[in-house]
Amino acid sequence: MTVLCHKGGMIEMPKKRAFMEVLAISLSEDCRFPVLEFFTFLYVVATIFFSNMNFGSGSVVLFQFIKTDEALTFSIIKGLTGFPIFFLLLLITKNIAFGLGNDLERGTMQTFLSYPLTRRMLLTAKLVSSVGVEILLFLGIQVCVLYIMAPYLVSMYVPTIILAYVAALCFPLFITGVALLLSLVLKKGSWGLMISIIMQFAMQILTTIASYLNTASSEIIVKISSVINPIIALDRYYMSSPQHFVQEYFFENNIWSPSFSEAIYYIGAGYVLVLFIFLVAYFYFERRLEI
Amino acid sequence: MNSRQLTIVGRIGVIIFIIGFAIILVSLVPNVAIGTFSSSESSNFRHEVTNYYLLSYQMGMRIEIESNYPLFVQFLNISSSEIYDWVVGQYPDIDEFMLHSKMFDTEVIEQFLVTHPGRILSNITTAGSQRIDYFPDKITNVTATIKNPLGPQGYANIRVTMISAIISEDRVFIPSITLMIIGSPPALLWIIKNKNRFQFREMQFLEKVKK
Repeated sequence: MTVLCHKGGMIEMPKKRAFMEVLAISLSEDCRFPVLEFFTFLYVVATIFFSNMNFGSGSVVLFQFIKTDEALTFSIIKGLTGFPIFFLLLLITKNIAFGLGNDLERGTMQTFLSYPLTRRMLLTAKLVSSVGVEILLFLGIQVCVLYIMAPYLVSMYVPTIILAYVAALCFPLFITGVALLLSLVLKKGSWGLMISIIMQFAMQILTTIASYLNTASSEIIVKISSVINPIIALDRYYMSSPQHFVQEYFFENNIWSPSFSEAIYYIGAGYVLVLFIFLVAYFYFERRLEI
Repeated sequence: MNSRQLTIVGRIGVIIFIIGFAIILVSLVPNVAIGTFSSSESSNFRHEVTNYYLLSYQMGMRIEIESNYPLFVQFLNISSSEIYDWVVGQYPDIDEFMLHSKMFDTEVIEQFLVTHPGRILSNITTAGSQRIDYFPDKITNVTATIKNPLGPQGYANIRVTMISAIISEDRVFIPSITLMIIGSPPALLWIIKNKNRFQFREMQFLEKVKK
């Protein structure tokens, strides 16, 4: 495969090299110094400040009632992922909207298309740069900070930690997929960014309201929300264990409480939905998008 | 090492350095006392058992001792329900008031430790007046015994407080410094190699500000 080089001649460029080249260009744009460093600082500070363990004596009161160690580990991870995930989402949607969206808006994408790459590979390189690296950084920092704070949890409850993170990352990926699709369809990054932020807040508000109402319709809302954000289903599973005081004191017995396998199904369903959105985005980018 | 490889290694170095630096910075936030839970003053201090607390690595116990003698402080992993059940088993005929006083008796605790080995979390001998901030390694039930090894003599004023820390400085100091040391060389190398670029960016930024 040949490609036009900047001096006007033709040079040989294998596909793998072209992929790495696009990835390197995208990385230098998405992870421009000191954006990544600033978010690293935010992740660390937010992870420590917003962990469940930091809510003063209230957290200790809560821990007294969580009898199983798995539930306790999940509760801590849920606290750790709460606010820092918002920063992760901001970074990812910023990359999608202002990276990919602006490439389409300004026509820079045409330059990328001159590389000997299929459109699918091009989008993959863009996504690895704008989503993959950020998620890896986020997980690396969270696990590192958790290990420094509570090494026994990380060494003893690895499956619970993995499951909690898998469930926690489903919703940001869903929002990312929607932002990607919007950026591709509208060819404008700002709309994708705005709508994804609104969606996140709307989802949080809806889920919180539905969680505190104990009616049949609110149960359906919680179930639908659990498909989009499966950490809700996992949370319900751990909260509904008979030893947990939240079930005992705040919820009546008829509130929806999934079994462990049901919670896993919800995580699976959530990822199927994410996969579907990304496949639609890939299909649109490959076949329908006119640049 | 080419320019791109250096950039990758350098940026990873900067990130590792920042993780360590951020943790150190957060750990500098001072511990906050959450009320005084018990305070005792004695001119012939012999021994004392603190209340039974559930502590975590961010929720600790502070013991402030004012004394003219060295005292022996022992942190133990015992819950109130555990010691209650054990005292009921040992002294089935005593009333509720006596039962509670036994729960806070150092000799009873020592007997409990004989039958339940491996419950000692930490031993500290104070040098007269001292402040001890204790955070356990995990979420666990903790009580502390304070004894005068010389018997009932000497003045002692003891205040026990629960404290909340965002992150315990003792726990994170070594890992954070290690991260900063690991991250520094590649970060410095990358910064030195890109010194001109940073200066150029700085000039561009200053020009924008002037305009």
